Amino acid sequence: MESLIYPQKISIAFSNNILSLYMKAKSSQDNQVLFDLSKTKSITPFGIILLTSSIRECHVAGKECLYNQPIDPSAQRLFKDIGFNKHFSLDSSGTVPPVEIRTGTVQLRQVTDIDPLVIEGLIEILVYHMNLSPGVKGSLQMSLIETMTNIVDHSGQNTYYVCCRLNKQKKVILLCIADLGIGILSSLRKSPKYTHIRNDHAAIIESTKEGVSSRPGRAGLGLKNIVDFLKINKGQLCILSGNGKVFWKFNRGEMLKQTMPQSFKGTVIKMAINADKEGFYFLLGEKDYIF
Amino acid sequence: MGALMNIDLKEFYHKRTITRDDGKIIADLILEKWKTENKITIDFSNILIASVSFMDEAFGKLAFEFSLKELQNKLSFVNIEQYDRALLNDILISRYRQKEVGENGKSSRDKKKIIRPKQ
Repeated sequence: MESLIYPQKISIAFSNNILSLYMKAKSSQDNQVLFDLSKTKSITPFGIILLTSSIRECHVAGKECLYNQPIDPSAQRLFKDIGFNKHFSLDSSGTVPPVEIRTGTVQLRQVTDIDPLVIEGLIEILVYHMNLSPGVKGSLQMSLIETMTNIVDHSGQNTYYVCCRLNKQKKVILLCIADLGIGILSSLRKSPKYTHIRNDHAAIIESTKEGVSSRPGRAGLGLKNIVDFLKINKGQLCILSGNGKVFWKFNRGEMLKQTMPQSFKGTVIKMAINADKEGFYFLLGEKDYIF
Repeated sequence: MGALMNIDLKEFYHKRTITRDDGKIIADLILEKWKTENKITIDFSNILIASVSFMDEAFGKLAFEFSLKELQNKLSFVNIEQYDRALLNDILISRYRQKEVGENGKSSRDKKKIIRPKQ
């Protein structure tokens, strides 16, 4: 039996370790894989999705998955609240709604095609925890639809994962969307326009630009609008695809590139959105003026 | 009656964050000078404030005390960044709308907070 011992904190800050566990789960020759989370104390939407993807890879390969739940009671509660237990039918005690606006939670969800419930849930969470004008709300809604359309159109998979959670202490909404498809580089290379792109980092950066799409005649707006919003919000964006990881820390004006030792075939998009209610978001020309 | 009064917000800018309490100081200053000054100019010195709490406490809540016409006649905002101008307008419009429908108008708490100048 292959034993995978997960660390105390499962987040994008430890992506090397989490991806290494993902690869071990995927490539294990054993028929049984133990996901040992007994030491885990906290997990982010990114962590939940990577863990879930690892379990999914095992299931697809016909392996039996065993699970040691966290010992820490607050971590146990978190796994329940974020929808992990429900996703794998690990307990039947009580029902947690799939979208909880006040806690800023969209439970871990495997989505097929464009799911209006998820998009509406995400938008309602943003509107509740931030000051967004109707124009910005509409723009973000369109961007999320576009991002999800891109996943369905380009990843080679029509299912993907979504998870969102508000970190109350830091007043940050953490949102993660991931697919286990072909990755951004392979997707862009399908179009002759992008055959010059040589590596994952370049492909990730290209995917955030306006008008980038491998669909003929259609210009992508999804990530461009999201990047513009996160710049103003001084939030963060991290995209992981293939061997590339690009991390935009808009609060510090930094863009960090990291080459992952393990390749992740799909794409993970992780956002950290500041939700301190002190910001106010509007589109130019959208407002009435009395002064 | 004085002709013009200038409130320069620069004195607050040395701090990293501008809070609701800072907004209260500005609101109190405006209320103190309301009767004695023809025009009160608030100078933002082109420095971005971008704080909903500050703007609401400093200017938004004045909507419960004065009509839109009175505010427009008395206050003037200069050297204000586009973002802050939009924020200011949005807050004032929301507060006037609130006043119109009778939501959260003058609560007893608000009354306690505002000290009127002596005539």
